[in-house]
Amino acid sequence: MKELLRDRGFQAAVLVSFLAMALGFPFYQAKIPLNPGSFLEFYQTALEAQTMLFLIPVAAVLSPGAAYVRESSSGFLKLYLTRTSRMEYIRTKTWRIYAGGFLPFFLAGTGGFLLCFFFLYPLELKGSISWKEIRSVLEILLRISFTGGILAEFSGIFAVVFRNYYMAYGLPFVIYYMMIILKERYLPKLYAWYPGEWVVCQEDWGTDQMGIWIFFLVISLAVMLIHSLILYRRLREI
Amino acid sequence: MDVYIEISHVTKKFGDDVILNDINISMEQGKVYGISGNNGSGKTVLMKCICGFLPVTAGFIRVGGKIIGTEIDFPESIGVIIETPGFLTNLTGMRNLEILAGLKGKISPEEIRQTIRKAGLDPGLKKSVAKYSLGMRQRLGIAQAIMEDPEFLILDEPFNGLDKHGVEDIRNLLLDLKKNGKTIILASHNSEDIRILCDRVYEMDGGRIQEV
Repeated sequence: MKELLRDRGFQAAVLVSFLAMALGFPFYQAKIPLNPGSFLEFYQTALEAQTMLFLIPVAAVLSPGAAYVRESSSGFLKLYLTRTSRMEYIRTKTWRIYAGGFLPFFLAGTGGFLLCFFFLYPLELKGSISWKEIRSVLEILLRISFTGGILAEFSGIFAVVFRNYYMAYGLPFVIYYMMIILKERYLPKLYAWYPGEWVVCQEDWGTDQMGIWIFFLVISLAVMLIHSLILYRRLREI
Repeated sequence: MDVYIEISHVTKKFGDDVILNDINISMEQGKVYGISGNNGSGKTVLMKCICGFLPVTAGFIRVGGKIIGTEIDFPESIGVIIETPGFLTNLTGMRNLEILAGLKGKISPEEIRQTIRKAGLDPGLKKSVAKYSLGMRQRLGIAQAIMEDPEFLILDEPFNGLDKHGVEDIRNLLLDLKKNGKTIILASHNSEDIRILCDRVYEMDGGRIQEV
């Protein structure tokens, strides 16, 4: 975890995530005194903004998704592996890459939430905070973070398959926009594969929208498994 | 002396090409073995097989009593330089070694600094490895290989890119390691290095090996 936090790509990803939120923040709507619950509304608007939707695949792959390319092409991988084992390397990399896509959004989002609370809540007219609304915005943040984790694993998979930076950084981006275009232009009912829906979660996902969490869990496990298997195959001969 | 490395009927093929052809050697603990041979003779492939980087097509390699590839992935307590030592070029030498040492957690940053000094580099050097000369990278490679005081060292052309003083420094370092009872396999084109450092020398040619 310490290595991940020290990684410049990870720090850049946190910054991009925060910028995505800040750019979507509806400053123009802020009229003091604010109505009760405004800080949550503003925060939600920032999370659901098009800038966030646009920058998710950018921030998600900045972190160590392409680490395999760097480590294998430089020869560092050999020095690394003799100090651990293939399985340990695979386990560490798979988790680190997922965390590298998940955490930037989660950390930037949590920071953004706290900033909204400390700066905007005191400007609101007196009223009570609805825990249901807080839970709802935090769920949006979690869904964005899961999306980031999944895209980071895609980046890891492409890094191992193609051993090429451009593919590792670019292909998740292409796939992400293909899914958006596919739903918006050609298959409007295909909401389960629409990243915008993953963020807002407005369609039918079953009781208490549990379906989307199961969806994230299954896809996350699937991409991690695929990544591990491909990496294992690649590491048989170094 | 105990046999530390046993290479038994090892064959390695890439497709139809036979790179190693029925290699049999036993190596004792605490000795230095030299492997010489022309380019493409199979030296590096043999070293990679001993390290566990490449699986053998037939036969087995046992290091420290364990068969590589079945009982363990890589030899325990090993220091390696295979081809040009590879580092993360955007980081400093010290940071690279810290990352590697952190995987086992056996040594402190101070011990890393001492090893870097022993290899003839300044541990406080702020420039990234990308700006290192070939000789500096080679010295850093040697530092990473020896920093955790491994029992067994595999060094493929460790004198590459070193100037006259560098060669002398590293030779002395290897002689110290030999005195301390380390088992070393050394591949070099330079017959003088082999003659000074090695207890036994093998010559590789066309995938076959024989003692010189």
